[in-house]
Amino acid sequence: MKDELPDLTLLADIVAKGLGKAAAVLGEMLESPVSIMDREYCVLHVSELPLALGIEKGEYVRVIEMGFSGGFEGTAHLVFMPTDAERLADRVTVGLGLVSDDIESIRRGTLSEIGNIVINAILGTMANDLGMELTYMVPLCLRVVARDLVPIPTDGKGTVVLIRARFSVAAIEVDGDIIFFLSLSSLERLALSMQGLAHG
Amino acid sequence: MAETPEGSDGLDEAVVDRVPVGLFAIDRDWTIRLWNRSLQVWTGRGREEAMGRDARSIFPALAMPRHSSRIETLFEGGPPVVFSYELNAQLFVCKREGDRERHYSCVSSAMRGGAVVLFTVEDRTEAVSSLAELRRELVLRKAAEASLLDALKVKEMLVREASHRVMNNLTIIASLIGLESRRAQDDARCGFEELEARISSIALIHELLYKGEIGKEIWLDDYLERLCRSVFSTFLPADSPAKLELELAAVSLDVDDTLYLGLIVVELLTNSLKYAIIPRNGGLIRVSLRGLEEGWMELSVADDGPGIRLAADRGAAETSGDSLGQSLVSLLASEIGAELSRGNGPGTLVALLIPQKSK
Repeated sequence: MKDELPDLTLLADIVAKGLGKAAAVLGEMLESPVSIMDREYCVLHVSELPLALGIEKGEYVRVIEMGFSGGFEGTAHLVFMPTDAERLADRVTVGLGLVSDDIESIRRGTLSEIGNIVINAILGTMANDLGMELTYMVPLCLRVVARDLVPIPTDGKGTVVLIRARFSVAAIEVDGDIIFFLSLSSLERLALSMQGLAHG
Repeated sequence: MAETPEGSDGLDEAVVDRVPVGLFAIDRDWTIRLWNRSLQVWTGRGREEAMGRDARSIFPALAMPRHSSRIETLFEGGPPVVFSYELNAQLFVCKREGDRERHYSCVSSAMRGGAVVLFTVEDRTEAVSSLAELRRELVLRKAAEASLLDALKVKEMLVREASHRVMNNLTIIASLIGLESRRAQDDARCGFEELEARISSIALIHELLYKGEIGKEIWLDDYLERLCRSVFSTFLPADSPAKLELELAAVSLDVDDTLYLGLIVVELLTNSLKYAIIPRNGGLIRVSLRGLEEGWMELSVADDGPGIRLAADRGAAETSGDSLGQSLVSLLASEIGAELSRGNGPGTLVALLIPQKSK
């Protein structure tokens, strides 16, 4: 099951705006252009997610994750393969003169903040443009098996809304994924909100 | 009942003072409205001193645009903002006197729709140090493991080299005896051939140790097949009609016991060849090995000849030589804790019940 959401083009526009803002913020931090590509919006059963996300294998990924609820609810993830995460963190910290014998802690702290900035740019834009008040969980920086990213659906049918985009920083050969899982019930509220925007 | 003091944000100060994380809250004009005890310890500034002041006067780096712009989003109800020590080391500097540089992690969140912003400053110094220590230890252990593996490889190489040399030397000795046997008379030749087969059985073990996986055990199916065929070729011409049937299970035995077992098999095969095969210029020898219940195996050597008693009737000289062989078999069997039994014809059947952990 992979239903396209043609009636949610406004959602796609708002997400695209958020992604653009996130790319600009990240690009500024890295002093390199950031490309956003392969945007995807669909409703899927959770059993289809591993294949859709290409995470069938038990490989480890670095994730910055933040949950949210309120006007719409779900989780936002910024996902990197470990080597990309290391390159990204090293690029941001180069020249800061950080002295530590624990490079892993430096990378972890740096990635937490980068992920927070990127996710906030998208979520902040969405919440503002949709005029919705959200409650946010404390962001987490994790190293997990990729398939553990699959959320537990709350709609009873096992379906979730997947919003995904791939970003690339060509100058430092870093690729990553921005993945949002929204609960299906959020769709109705989003649709109503967007109708209001369209007519208002 | 005494009233519980509260900060202007309504949080119970008695509660927040017990939180082991630095907490402070500011309102929209950056005025500090909450300041807990952990933060007093961190900054060296008391609550009375901090409350009502502009947070940027205590933490000047907050006024930097790259920080203040992110905090401003919280006053609009935006998502939590993370300030890592790694990228913002000067933001919440610890002022404890004589203290070393301390690592922290800060998350600031909007409360009451953005009317108040709460900062949590967590001291991560010990956690970071512990992790660094663990990682250092891990690196050391990996290096030690690599060093041990290298030493093991060297040891294996030396064992292989030693086994190779022993095998070569024994093979030369067996060849010399084989050369001597060709010049000898019948009775003496048989003795030489037996000696050659015994030495070859030991050389074969060293060959397996040299070529195979270095370990304490030898796979008997491989070893016994090669041993039996070697003994056959020593005593019989290539075109002999005699048959050798092997039914060997894949079981293993330690190297020392295998050496004794190999000598036993050589004795039993030699006897069968001498009395059941060579006199008839043909016949059958069957060697069987099977695993029994846990820890035991059974080896049997059988032929279709006249049997031990009849063979013994053929001559005192032969039987005296063979009684030496039989004594040797009994002695070797006891060395490996095996139980020896003989079947009641037709032909000769000798069976050994062998413990796999005999020592």
